[in-house]
Amino acid sequence: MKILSVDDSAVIRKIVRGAAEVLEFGLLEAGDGQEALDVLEKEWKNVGLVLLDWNMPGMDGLEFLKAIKAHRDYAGIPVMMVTTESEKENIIKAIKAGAIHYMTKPFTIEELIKRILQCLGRGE
Amino acid sequence: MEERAFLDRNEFIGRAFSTAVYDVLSTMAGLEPVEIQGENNFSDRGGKYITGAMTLAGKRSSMASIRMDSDTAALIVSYMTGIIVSEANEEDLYDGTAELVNMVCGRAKAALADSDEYFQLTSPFIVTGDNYVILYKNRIQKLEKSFRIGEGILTLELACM
Repeated sequence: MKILSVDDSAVIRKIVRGAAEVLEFGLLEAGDGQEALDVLEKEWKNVGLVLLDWNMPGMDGLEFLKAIKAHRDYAGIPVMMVTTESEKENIIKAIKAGAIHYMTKPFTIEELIKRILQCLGRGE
Repeated sequence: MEERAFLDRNEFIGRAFSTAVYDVLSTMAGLEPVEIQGENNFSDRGGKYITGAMTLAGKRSSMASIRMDSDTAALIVSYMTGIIVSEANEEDLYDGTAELVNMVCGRAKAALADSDEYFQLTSPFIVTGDNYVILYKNRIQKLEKSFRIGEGILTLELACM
């Protein structure tokens, strides 16, 4: 199983890579929504979870979330938002659009691992 | 009276940003920044400086920036990602500094959400070089806070219009 990290920050993607390695999952990376759609086109069958930033250049996180939830093949892939956006309205927007979890930055690696497992139904 | 209100408001904003710097660095990097009192505590270790900045759009427009030398940026990026300090390349430092200012402003935004100082985030950007000064037009009110991180200094500056 692979995690797809969609974030315009390479540093955040490196942190997610660290968590994926601990969990022995593979990692796919994209710097924006369009790049993530390109990755999914080839790899969607292997992607078990998408970790998604909100503010990105080009296609932002919410647009990407809506796009995959409207797609026949990708709609079932769970998505967790990982973002600095902490307004209630935005959390509601993301959950309504299909995100199953919402984590605000900053976070510890332990918290990230715990949330990933929760998203996959393997945590408390 | 007006000056007092201004000082109170600045203290309120300053506290939100100071707490944000501490929260972000302690959570993401396990570092404990220590606030230094007084002004002009720029790091004087020489070398290249990196400034991560972001315009804050609100009732009062402002610019928030975080400035540090490249060794301090490398230390923070290393603690955040687990990569060895000497292996952090320039791109890592720029990206890490931009993400740092993004998270600090995001955290401060959450803290100020229910106040008149509420603002929207914009895209962070980086200024880098050996010797540079960011100048603002007159009538800008500046708020500056410095933090010691290891042997380096990180300076947070808020320029409010």
